[in-house]
Amino acid sequence: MIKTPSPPAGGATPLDDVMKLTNPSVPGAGGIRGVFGSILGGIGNLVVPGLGTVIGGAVGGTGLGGAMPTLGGETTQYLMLQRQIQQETLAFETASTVMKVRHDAALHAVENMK
Amino acid sequence: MAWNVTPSRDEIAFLLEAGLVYRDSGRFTEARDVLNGLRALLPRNDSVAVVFGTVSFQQGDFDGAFRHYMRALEFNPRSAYAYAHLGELEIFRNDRARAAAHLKQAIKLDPRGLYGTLARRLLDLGQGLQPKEKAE
Repeated sequence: MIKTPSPPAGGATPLDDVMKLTNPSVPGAGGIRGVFGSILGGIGNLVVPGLGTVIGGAVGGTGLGGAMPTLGGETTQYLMLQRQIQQETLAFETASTVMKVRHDAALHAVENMK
Repeated sequence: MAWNVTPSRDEIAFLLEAGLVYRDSGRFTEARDVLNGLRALLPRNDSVAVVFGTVSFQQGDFDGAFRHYMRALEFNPRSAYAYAHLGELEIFRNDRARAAAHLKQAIKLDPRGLYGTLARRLLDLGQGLQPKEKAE
């Protein structure tokens, strides 16, 4: 059985801080984004405790600050949304790069045993 | 009972990889079983101690991870792998200064290798984060 580790006691991790740069978080994101957010969050938590919360939040929509339904015709809101998306993309890429290099380093340790 | 097992290097590598696969699939008990076997074969190997530490880390047991990493450094004071993961741990403990010191040490010990690269990436990540004391 695959167990999903829980984030460390105390809740927030430094990776949460990455996302805090971008988001006034708004509860209630749902639908397909919420489902994908949960799935990706679970996978992320397997690798680094707390990371899943960040990824899940970003994909699930809480990271977008709930701005999507209230865009209306306001250009500034589009620009704010674009900026938030760019920051979330950057946070995502940073975390993803670290996870890849972490994996490569582990494989390197295995190779060194040979 | 005395051990009379002489595994090949390939078998040792296979066991370490199995431990990593168990760890990454969240099967921590199995990961520890495999790594305990490996530790019986190689009692003073720093890589085994580091991987043990990463299992604790992924379970959120930061103190346990710290002990394993320190043991790895006891076995090999020049282990860039141990310093890189120690830096990662300190980032998660919100001690940015200590994290930076460990990561810089890893880069110094393995400037062109993968452990140095891991440390550089973690250093980038740590520097991109808000200092905790200012955020609170």
